[in-house]
Amino acid sequence: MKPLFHFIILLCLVACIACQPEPPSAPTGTTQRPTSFDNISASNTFDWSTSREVILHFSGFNANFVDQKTVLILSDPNQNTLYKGAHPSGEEINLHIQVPTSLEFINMEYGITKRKLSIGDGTIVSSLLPSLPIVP
Amino acid sequence: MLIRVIKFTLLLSLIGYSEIGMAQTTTLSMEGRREIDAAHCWEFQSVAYTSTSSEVISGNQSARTAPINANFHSIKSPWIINPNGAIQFKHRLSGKEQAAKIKLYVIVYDYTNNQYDTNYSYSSYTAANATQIVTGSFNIKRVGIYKIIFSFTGIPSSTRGILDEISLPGAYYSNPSNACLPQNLSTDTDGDGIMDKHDEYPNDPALAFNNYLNGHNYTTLMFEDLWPGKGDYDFNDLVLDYQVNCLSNAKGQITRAEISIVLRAIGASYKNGFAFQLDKIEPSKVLSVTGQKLSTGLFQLDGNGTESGQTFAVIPVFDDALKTIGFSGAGTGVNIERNGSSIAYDTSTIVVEFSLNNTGITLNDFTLASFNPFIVINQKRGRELHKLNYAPTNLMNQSLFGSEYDNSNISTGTYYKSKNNLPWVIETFSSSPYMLEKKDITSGYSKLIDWVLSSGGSYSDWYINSGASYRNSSALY
Repeated sequence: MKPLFHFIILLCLVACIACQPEPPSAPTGTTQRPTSFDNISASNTFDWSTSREVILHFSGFNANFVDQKTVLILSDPNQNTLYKGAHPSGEEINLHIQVPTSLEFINMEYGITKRKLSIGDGTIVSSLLPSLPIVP
Repeated sequence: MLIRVIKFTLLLSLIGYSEIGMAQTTTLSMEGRREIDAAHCWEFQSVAYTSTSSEVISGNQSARTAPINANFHSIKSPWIINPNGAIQFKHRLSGKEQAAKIKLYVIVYDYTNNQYDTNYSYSSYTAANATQIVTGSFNIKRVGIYKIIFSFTGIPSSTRGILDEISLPGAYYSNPSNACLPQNLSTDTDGDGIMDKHDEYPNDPALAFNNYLNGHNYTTLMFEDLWPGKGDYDFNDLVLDYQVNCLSNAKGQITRAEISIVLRAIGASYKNGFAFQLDKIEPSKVLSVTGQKLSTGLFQLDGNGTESGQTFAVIPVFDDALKTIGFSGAGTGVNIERNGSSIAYDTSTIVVEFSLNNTGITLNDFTLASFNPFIVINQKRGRELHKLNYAPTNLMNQSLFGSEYDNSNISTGTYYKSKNNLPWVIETFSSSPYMLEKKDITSGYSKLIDWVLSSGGSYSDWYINSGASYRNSSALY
């Protein structure tokens, strides 16, 4: 009787172990880093560009007495001008500019309005109006 | 009658802030967005607009300070000129706490003499009358340029100051387009509508702005000219820098482009030409081109300096790089080996004048993305080499696509790409060192591989960072 009991216990143990989920398999090897340009395999969608296009939309504001144009200046953090053009305040401004892919922010200036704009995914939507501090 | 005057004032304020007809007044009604009033040179310090009915003095909104303390909570007017008449306004407090300790000052600031004069102060608030509307008024007669400042101050409390219906007896004299400085500081010599301060050509009404598409930098192009064959990947067969400046007028039309091209190195024996196509601009919009260095007959030009037979304007720059840089000796390169031939860089300045017919060309037509530079390999006009995925011109021999190592697919707009998605041209957005002869580009730029493997997600500064972990200067010229 006792051997039969031991056999059943053993069978249960085997069954339990067999039903355990398999541990993730260990990596079988590591991807070799290319050692020369010729060995690189780039993604089919990679465009090799060190610059990118940024699309900017600025909403204007109604100021029907001001018929003269104000100069919109876009610049990088080193004060290099990326765009300069004159626009009336009521105008919707749509621009495309090219910037280095490493650039994260653009500074804009329009009259007294000054903003630091995050480039994010490449589309910037902003306003020509100044940002005023919140008053408690 | 009073109501009619108020309505008239409100109407004027809706019309605007400038010199307003015969009234010669400058008003602030607080009925719109505070940001718009700020854009028109009203300044707000710890003051916002409120529409809380128990606080509003008239209309739908009034100006309301933060809880008052010893600091100034003020509204500062734009510049007005030659004020003569009554400064009028209405004020109250939001509550009675510390009302007797709160004062409203009206200060006149003299631009010419840089002086502040307190012309009016009100300190008669009491717990009993704090929320009652008070009409303030005093006369002023001065010659010159002034701002009027309305400021509440007191000891700390929860009480706020409320202001409304400000009317100043002088013509609006700020210039919102010139940082709100007085209008007499806004000189426009050439009369094109752009003040001299911003006009980079203040004496030329046909020009106003420089627009450097590379942001004042030079961009470096490095070519492997064995395309469609496999190169040695030192990317120095032709190395040049370029900068594009689009000159625009006050209307935003590009009247001229100045393209500066600096030929730096030639690591090849091929006689390569260099040109660029403006991908969105037809040849007919080009009036003239100057500055080209052409002698071999590689490019056939129309009368305006663009290449014949093209849908978009193709502008040849030079047709033989070796001749352009002035190399006539033996050997296979210029400026590519430390002990090899060394010649001063050659700079070409191409000036393209554009037609202003119809709407002309804007900066949305002429972008850096639509600036399509290419070389013509070894005097064979149909053998163009462009940047990856940039389309060839009409004169390209399209049978070369897909041959040897090239894996272009015209139907999908895929050009100048190998089976491993490698290019034959590398461009860096700033002027960068290039490789010594036969040195693989990855041996000079240590993070280039990481940048590519991350599809541009990492090390986007691979060509900018000059640190030892990024650059191996022993492999760079």
